[in-house]
Amino acid sequence: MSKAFVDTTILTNILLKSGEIKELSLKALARYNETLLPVYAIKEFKAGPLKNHVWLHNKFAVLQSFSKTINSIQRMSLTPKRYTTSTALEALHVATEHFEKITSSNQIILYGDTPNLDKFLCDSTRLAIKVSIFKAWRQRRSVTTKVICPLPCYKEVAPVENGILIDIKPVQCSNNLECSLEPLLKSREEDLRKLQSAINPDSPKIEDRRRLKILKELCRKPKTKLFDNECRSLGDAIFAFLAPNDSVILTTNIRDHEPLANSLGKRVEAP
Amino acid sequence: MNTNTAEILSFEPIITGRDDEKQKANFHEELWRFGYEFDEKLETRKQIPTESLYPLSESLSPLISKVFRLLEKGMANIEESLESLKKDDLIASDDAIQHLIVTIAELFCCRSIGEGFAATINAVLHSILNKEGDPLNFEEIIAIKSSLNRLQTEPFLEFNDSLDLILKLEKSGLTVEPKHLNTIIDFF
Repeated sequence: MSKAFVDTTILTNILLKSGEIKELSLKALARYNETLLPVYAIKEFKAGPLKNHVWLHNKFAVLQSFSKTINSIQRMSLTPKRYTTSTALEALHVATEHFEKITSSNQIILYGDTPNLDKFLCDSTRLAIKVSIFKAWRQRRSVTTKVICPLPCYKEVAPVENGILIDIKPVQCSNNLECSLEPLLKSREEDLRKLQSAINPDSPKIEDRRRLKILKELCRKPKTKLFDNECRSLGDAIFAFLAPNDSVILTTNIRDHEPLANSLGKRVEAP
Repeated sequence: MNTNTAEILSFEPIITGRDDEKQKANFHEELWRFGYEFDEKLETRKQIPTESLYPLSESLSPLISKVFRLLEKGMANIEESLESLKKDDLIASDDAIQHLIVTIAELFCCRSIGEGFAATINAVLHSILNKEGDPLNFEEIIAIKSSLNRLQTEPFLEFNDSLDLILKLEKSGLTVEPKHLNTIIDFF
């Protein structure tokens, strides 16, 4: 029986993307008899991609203008790549392609400012993002055949409407509950050392350095407490650690997952 | 006033026997209170049109009145499309959908009605636009019909309930997100 241990990138592609990217991930899941989603992936999903979507929705809700919001997010682009004006213009062009023809001056006469193209696009986009967020949360546990590795220290709290905005808190573990991963991690010290050895100590990536530091502390200082920050920083290492031996880790991020998985004798596959 | 069919059906247990006239009279009264009529001959229930439940809509809220008219127009477009499809007239069916796009766009102008209404209409609009001119098939048209039908009886639909309709649209094979959303999300 073939098994896939599904990571956050696949979950994100299925729940928040559309078109070819989503289809590719769905087809990948269909390759396996059993697909397993750890609750850790849901936690990462909520604190990462879903939180970003909520931020984007709230941006549209507050600025009430499509062009202003696009300009704003372009300036704040969260990836190292700084998107150029042409990318922002591309978004505007794609969006206006359909709508210019169906909003008309007649409608402005009838409905006042509502059919103004900028407002039309803003509201249309905001609503689509809102639907995407709540749909994703509703479907998060039905993407795979099983949800495994429960985290009693993490409460899956749904996003809520808060006036015109959406509130997604909490995205962290409950502070007053003991980390449920901590005892499991500490009980397999040999695996922690293998994961350490898979990380380049001279890596320029901050996430690699953080991950290595926490793994070392878990081994050297058994009394170290694991809090939400450290738990999240372990990231890809957790997937390698938790994946059943008879499964493959399904991810779009082969580059980061592979060395960690291989150190524990596990395999990684991409969609 | 709630015109939800499910709530009316909850009155069924009240009747223990058809020959109990007093109970039947009570049952009819309860139905009437909630805007339903009981047809003795057919022993079925008819729904009073939504416009009858909102008789003063034109003066109290021109917008809701406009919404009902547009929804009726949209449903007429859909019926025409379905009828044409049954007769294998793809051109007439598709043309009816072209008319529907304009109606739906105008319905979106009325989105201040509520988030549930706005989200549903937005999803229907993009479902059709994302076909990029390809005709809708039977299942897709039925899914859209189901959405508009629900809005006819519940124009003030809660946002959470609109998700059910939107998921149905997706299940029929339609893409409900605007094309430009992926471009925007790539900013992250």
